[in-house]
Amino acid sequence: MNAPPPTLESLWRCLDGICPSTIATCSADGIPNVSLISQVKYVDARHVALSRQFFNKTTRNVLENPQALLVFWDPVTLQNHRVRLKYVRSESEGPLFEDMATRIDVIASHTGMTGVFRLLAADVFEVLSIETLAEFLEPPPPDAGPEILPPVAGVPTAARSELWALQRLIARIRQASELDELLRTVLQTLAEDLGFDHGIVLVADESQERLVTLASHGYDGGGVGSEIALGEGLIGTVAERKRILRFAPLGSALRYGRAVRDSLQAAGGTLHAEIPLPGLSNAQSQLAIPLLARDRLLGVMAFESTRPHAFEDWHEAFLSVLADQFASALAHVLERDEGEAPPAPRAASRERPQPSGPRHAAASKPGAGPRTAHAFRLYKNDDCVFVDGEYLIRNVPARILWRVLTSYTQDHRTEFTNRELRLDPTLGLPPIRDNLESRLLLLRRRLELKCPSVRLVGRGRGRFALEIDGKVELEERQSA
Amino acid sequence: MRVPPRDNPPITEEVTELIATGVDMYIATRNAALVPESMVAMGVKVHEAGCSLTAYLPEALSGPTLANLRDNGQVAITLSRPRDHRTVQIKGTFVSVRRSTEGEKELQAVFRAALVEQFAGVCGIPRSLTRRIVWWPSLAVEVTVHAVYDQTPGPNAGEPLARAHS
Repeated sequence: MNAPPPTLESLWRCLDGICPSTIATCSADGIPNVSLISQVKYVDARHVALSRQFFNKTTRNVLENPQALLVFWDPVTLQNHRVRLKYVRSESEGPLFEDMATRIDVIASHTGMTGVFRLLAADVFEVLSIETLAEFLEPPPPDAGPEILPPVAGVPTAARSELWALQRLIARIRQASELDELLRTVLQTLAEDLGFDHGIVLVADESQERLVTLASHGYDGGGVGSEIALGEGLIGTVAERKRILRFAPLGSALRYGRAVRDSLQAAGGTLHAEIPLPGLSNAQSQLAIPLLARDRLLGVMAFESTRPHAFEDWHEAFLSVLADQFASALAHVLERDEGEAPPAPRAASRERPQPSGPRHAAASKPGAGPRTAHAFRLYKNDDCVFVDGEYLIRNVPARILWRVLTSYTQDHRTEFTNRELRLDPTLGLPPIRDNLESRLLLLRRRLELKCPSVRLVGRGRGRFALEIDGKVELEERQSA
Repeated sequence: MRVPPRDNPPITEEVTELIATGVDMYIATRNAALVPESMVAMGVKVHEAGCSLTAYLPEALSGPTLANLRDNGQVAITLSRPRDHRTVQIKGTFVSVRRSTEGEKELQAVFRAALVEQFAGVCGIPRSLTRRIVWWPSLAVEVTVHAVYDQTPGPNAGEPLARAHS
């Protein structure tokens, strides 16, 4: 008995663009044409859309003669699928267009072609028939080893289900009471259950123009504090468009972008510099999900892998559900402590740091670890702080650090409240949704990385303490 | 049949060099009702004059393509290098078809080896899998070349690289 013809849904792997797909068309005067396709998008069970960045021969042909043949290769089995198509319409706005444009915009952003290389239209085709070319492959040799790539998840498929993983994640999200715990829980559980070994969470600043990395998994703590502008690269584009985006194969997409870039430059175009990919230098797939509270952008959760098949269709659906729960919890944690907290005593510490002068203060904590002196320097014009000659942090978290260190060296204070920070106009915190918790967490993480002798330690809701081993010296400069 | 040399052969040295670096190859035809057809080809030999070529098609897969070639002779061949998307498209007409000789098998084996490497390096496809693509026995399809177009993604896609004098 012959196997039933494949459905469009069953070809989901082919739509990732890992193997080159082609479309054959024919002009009204009978000249055939075959072109490689950069992006094929599933629209519904009977329709696909092809991205069009330039008005090309394929477009001219289907406007004259709507018949087309799409040929897919399955990137895992290498089966050859032939999809008969009929051109229906072109869309240059709406959800389908926006979805496809986002992907093109990411390539454009990374290859310095923002605004130059863009989607002109999503050309929609009706699927008339699908056929798998049975004779395309020889049978495997009898002693052949496995040719199928290993499964994605770190936990064996038999030992889990998607619903089980989702339930476990949501339960853990509900239990997490602190921001740090929440972020760690989500990234770690996704690594355990889905094999997402490299993940980061970024939060938006109050201007909603930049994202800063607050937590990472799989990078040995690296990347925390790194910033991305909205609209820049994959993550910035996901944030700006507020759309989930799965991107693979990255190498091929960037090569495609570079081919266009070379062509544009040869034609005399002036382009921006390429933006390097964040994280893994050899990443082959990325997945980024916006974290939204209603329609407000809280941040972005992003994952990457060196494998081109790492993220599948169902991951998008799974993470969309998860992202709603995560964003809701994130909003709650970020905003819940905006209420009252009792003021901290002006000089709560028994230790008496030793100030060394009005401009260059030094302080030490007797008997607390090695007496290393750390030199903190504030560059006022750049709004950033360096420690021991190395960049530490900038903007609001830098101002918070400077305020805390100054209070320590001048007034010998070690206990602080979130409330007093909110009331301090010099810090520049917005009156509502100030993201203070995320800024403090970022500051903690950066200190752990760059200067572990200086720590911000939680003292219950709305309170924290400054712990310092050794001495600190403060210096303010206008500019570097 | 060989076409005599012309002053400006459509297949330039640049295109020949592209082919030599390892390319994917797709051939498109159409039937009398203008329904397009395409298949993977497994090797090409450009003749010295640069005005004709031999395309090698796996015989087991070539039925519809061959029927179209015999019906109207119109053919398009796209050659694309996966590592940088450098792509050209050759337009021509069918001249004749015959069984590939054993002497031509080696040329196709080299072409196939380059495809196996490109798929492994660029797409991550296991070599053992790409080697299973049917390629032999094959048919040698002789084509007269009329024009070659740039098809590298970008604003110049569709522009002629060279056009033969008619």
